[in-house]
Amino acid sequence: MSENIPSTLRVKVITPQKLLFDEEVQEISLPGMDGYLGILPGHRPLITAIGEGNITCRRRRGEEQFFIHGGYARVMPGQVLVFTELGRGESDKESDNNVEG
Amino acid sequence: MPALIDLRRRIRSVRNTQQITQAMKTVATAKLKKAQRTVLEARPYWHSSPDLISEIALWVTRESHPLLSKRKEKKIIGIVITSDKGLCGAFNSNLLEEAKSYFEEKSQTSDVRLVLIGKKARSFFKNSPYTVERSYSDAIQKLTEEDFNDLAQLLIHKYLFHKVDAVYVAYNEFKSILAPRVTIAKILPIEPPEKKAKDAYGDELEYLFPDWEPAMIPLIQTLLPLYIKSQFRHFFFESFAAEHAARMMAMDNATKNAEDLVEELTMDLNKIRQAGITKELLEIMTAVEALAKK
Repeated sequence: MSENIPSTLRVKVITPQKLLFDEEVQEISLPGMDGYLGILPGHRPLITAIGEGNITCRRRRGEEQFFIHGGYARVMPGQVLVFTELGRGESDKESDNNVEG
Repeated sequence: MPALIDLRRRIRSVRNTQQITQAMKTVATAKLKKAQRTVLEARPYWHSSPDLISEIALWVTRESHPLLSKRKEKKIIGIVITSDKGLCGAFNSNLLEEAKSYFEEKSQTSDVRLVLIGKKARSFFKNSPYTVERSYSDAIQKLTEEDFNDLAQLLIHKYLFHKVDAVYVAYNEFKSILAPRVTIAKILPIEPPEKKAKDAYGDELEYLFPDWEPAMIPLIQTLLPLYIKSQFRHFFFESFAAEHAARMMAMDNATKNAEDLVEELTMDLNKIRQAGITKELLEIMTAVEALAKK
């Protein structure tokens, strides 16, 4: 199976409110229970609980960060699904500011 | 012959009612839009998390966690989710009838207790033989995250301590705007939809055996309760959206019926008025003729 390692990771960050993020990325780092986990394409299948902290998704250009509070993630060689009850992305902060302004 | 003034009064009152139903329809439409958005935006979550659970169930045996293990159903809890307010067609009555017959059948073999959400459920089951475990009514749309967690926690506790052997939820699923679908689902013990995950991976399954972080058992210990909580909230939102859709449809029908009624009454009114005029004319004519003969 090693010959067909995917070159990107499909990352979905899913909250009960909405689909926070759904893109192809190069690398993702997750806040695990005992510290951060860096995940590259072709990672071994993994089911993990997530603590509190920032998820960082690195794309070819730029990166995106989310703050999440607990949840769990399903890692597959070409896919990462993050389930979280509470999460917010950068775009949410902006829209919050707009509401206040 | 009914007096003209009575008919006019009736038409006016029907028009007033129509205005009210029209306004209620507008309100329901606005609320529906909001509720629908909540449901639709949440769907990825509700659709993916059962998948995850069913995947987990492939690697975990039913005995490895009590929330997964089946027991003989001696004591069950039924949760019925209705609305607080009426005026939404058969939304509540269909659900309540279905739930009643379902739990009646269950009560042959087991002890049924109920958790009621919404005023309508409470008044319906007021005189029923079942014990009401808890009921939530008045402003159910204001139920918060904590309330759901609280209730889910209670049910999980009862299940773990063998106070209850199965939990069912009866609710209206927001299938489409036209008609809600009455659904009765079992939430405890967790029934993983096993087949789907197996089909998705086929022979690769063995290769895909995942790592668990932390270890498998502690992980599913936190994961399963979370799943139940989220499922629960999901049912509630579905029901909420379905309620507004049902109300919108009911009010739309009412408005149309009122329109028909107004038309009918106006027709009657015109006929009677016409008859009155004809009669008066006839009287005048006969009087004129009688005078001419003299």
